[in-house]
Amino acid sequence: MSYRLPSLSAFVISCSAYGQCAEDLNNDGTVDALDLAEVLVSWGQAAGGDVNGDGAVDGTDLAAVVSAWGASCPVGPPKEVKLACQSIAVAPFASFVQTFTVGSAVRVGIDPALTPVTAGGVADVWVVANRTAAEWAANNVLQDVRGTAQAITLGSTLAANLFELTGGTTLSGDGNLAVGRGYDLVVDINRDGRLGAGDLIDGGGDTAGLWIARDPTASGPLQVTTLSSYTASGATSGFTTSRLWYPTTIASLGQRPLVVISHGNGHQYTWYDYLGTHLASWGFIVISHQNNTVPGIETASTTTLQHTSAIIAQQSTVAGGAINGRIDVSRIGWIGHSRGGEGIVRAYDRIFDNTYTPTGYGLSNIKFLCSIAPTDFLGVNSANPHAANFMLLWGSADGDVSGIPTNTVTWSFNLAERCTGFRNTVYVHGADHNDFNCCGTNDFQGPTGTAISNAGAQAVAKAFILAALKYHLESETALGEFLWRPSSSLRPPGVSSAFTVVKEVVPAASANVRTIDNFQTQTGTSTSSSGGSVVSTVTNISEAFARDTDSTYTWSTGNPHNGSIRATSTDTQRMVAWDWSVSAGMTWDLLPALRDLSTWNFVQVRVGQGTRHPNTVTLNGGATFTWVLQDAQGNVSKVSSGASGEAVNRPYQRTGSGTGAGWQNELRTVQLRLRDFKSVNPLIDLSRIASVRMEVGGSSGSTTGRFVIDDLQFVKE
Amino acid sequence: MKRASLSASVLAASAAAAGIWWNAGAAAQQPPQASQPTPADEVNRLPELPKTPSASSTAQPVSVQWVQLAKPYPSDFRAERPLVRAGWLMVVRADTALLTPRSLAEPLLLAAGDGWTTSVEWMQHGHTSGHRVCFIPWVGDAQPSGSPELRGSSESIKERANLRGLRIWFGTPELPERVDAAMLARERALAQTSGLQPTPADRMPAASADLTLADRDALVGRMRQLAAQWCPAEVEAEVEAKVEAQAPEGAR
Repeated sequence: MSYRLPSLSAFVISCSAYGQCAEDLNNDGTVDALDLAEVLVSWGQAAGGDVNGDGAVDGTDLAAVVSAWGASCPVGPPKEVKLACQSIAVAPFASFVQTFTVGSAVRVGIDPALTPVTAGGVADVWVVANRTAAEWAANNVLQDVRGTAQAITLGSTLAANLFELTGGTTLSGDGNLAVGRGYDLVVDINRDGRLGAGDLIDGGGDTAGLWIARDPTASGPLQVTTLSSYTASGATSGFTTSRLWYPTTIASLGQRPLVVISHGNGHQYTWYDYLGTHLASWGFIVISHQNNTVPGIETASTTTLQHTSAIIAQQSTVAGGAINGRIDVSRIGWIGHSRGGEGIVRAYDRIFDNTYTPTGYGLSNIKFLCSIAPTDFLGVNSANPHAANFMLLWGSADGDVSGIPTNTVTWSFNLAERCTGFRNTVYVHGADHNDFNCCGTNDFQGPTGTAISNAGAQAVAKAFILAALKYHLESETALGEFLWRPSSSLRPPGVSSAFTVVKEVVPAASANVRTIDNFQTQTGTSTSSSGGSVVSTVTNISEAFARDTDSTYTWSTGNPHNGSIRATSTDTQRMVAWDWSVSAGMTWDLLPALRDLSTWNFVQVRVGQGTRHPNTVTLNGGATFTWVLQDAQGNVSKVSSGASGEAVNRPYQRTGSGTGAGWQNELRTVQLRLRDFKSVNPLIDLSRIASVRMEVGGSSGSTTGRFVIDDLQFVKE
Repeated sequence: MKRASLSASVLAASAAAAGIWWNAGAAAQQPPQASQPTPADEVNRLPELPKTPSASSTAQPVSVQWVQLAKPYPSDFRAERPLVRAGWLMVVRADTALLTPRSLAEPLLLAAGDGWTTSVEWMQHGHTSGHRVCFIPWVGDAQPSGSPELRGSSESIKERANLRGLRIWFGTPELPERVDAAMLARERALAQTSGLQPTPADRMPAASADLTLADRDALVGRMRQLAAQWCPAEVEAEVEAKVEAQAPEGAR
């Protein structure tokens, strides 16, 4: 996962002369009455005036302040902290994020437990057009895009320090070809109008602290020219026709990424105008080609490969040469639907396996694959995205590639599970197979009143495909938050709030990902894949292949992974499943080498409800749990999964494939910032976390339920 | 837009279920009229796939023409990808439930004659009209050890590829690109045990004059032309225009 990467190197260099006294609690350069007041206000608590950092404000702290009374104490450099946030209903009452949509309320949050400030003091909040670290080093004069800074009076708790930005709902998201625009947030503690010592900044590095995004379902800023058809040289006979969309002003845009759309069986290349036009309006060059899907996946993959080569080779002549020299061959995205969705993965696999050598581009140029409701005819050895960036988009009401347990060809999730690169899934309730094109058969299968129609599904497709393309091909990393934050936290305005959109993300293995348990090794339930011990008090625990083995979605104890359709008999994807009806939990001990989380940002897990399990049926709604971190000294911090924004949703209530209601197990990524644990309990020592626990039942969440779980990880921004 | 063509196929499926599709009369060859879309969104309008092969999973030829190609091409409808130099260009009529596009495996379209069995090539599904344009490639009777390479004069080939006792039917659902000689042999045996009968001689249409085409491009062009005639809703407008402009001389 590529998160924001704050860089404070400029500050470190320019401010290296600064030191800081612990007794100067408000960081104003002098140990004085304000610091004494801070000690007294927080007396007996675990924050504020804790000079020696022992977790309690007491006589020792008071003595330290008195001892240093009057000392001139150079203040520290500006402090990089997360400030942009949303308020939430549960502790810690704020969720710190980067991306907001235009018109949303934006808040600045300051947690005194993490960033000591003087309660009662007044500071100014500045919203500054995004500057790089170098730009900040060269110019620290604050200039608020709203006209004037906003004065705030600081409180002694995070809840008291949540300030809605005045004029925040009118901040512009116009980033030209970028979907959004970046800003840096500054809390000017000494109110001198400059970013300086003791101030707080969110976005002091090269990346913006706050990103205001336009609606990714809406058309972009560019006019689009459509070439209704052209003939691709070298493509299979009968499948040479393609449609082209490009920005009308492409001559002034420089080189732009190429997106290739490969349709499904019985579909036509003319059925994706909605997507081609949309993407071109945001600056992409897009083609949709005839696809040779009838013989099968191999032939379909060949047409994808051929048409990609053809548009590169023919750019000087197609559309009168309008796109000549404008295709950035190093940034190619493939989108395929149905058999075409498997076809693009097969095409990538063929290049990866060196069984096909395309002309004009290579494997490293394919930066993104998006399969919409793909089939899986070929299996793990041939339909494998390997380390590509991969997105799966699928509807729960698909009556064609349906996800029935009796036919693994319909298990679209297989492809995502095989990916070892960055992968994310978007599973949309109520969308059918042909909702993602204009004109295919209505194959909807689902409960009455849940259909979201072509318009609804295509809004979802436009939003998430655009976000992923901008994320992977144009480094607009802030849009990545659309891919993993729940809809209640960040929703494209053009996607109805009534829609259930279930999202997963799994980052590629890297130094920024620490996997505690992915259940692939150490397959017993008492040891994690990272080697630590696992203790569980849950019931009916099973760690096994993510495979429904009895051809029906009816629950049975002999099929503990009922509803999991993510691994064929030749796949190796494993998960754990368990249930509860009293207080219970699963605790992962961290090996000593994995315990320092002080520089890590998130804890996350993929979790879904076990479909049609009696507990799931009884719960009949969203499921919640509590994250519990415990440090080596026994300090505990608990945060509800609800702080992420949404409960783990009930499976889509589709019937068939056995008795009862509920379709396949829908996993979603539940992610929390580690700082949230510090906010809830400042004593927790993130540098020495001994265990992480998912706690259920009782006061910890839903009273009953069954979970399917995978990929417990810590990740960095 | 999406719903209208569907209703047509539903109607066609209903007609087919009533046995109308099997009749060779001129009226039955007209595309079905679209009905009003129903509001029942909860119904999957993909018709259920009939069991294949079965005695009734047959296709009825309504147009037949022998085609010889100057330049052979490898067939995408066989795992061995044999070279194709000739074959029968046909339009067949069938139950739209069998013709309806599916992302999952569709019933193989197979043909067998006197000593040969082959995987039939096609492009448009034909579900909107009940007619599919297809090409029965003559690759010899490619048994597992047989050579797919065509030998002999045009006339002798045509004779070997004669349509006496022609069976054309929908077999086991599978991807055509995975069909090999062994699978063909199995499918032929399955068809025989399922009671599938040859097309009666009196139902075979008279063959049009033989056609010689340059290559696969020309063959595809001819197939598109026929598709525009027999299942026009499935031919993209741009492609249809292009085919019209580029149709080989012998095909006009």
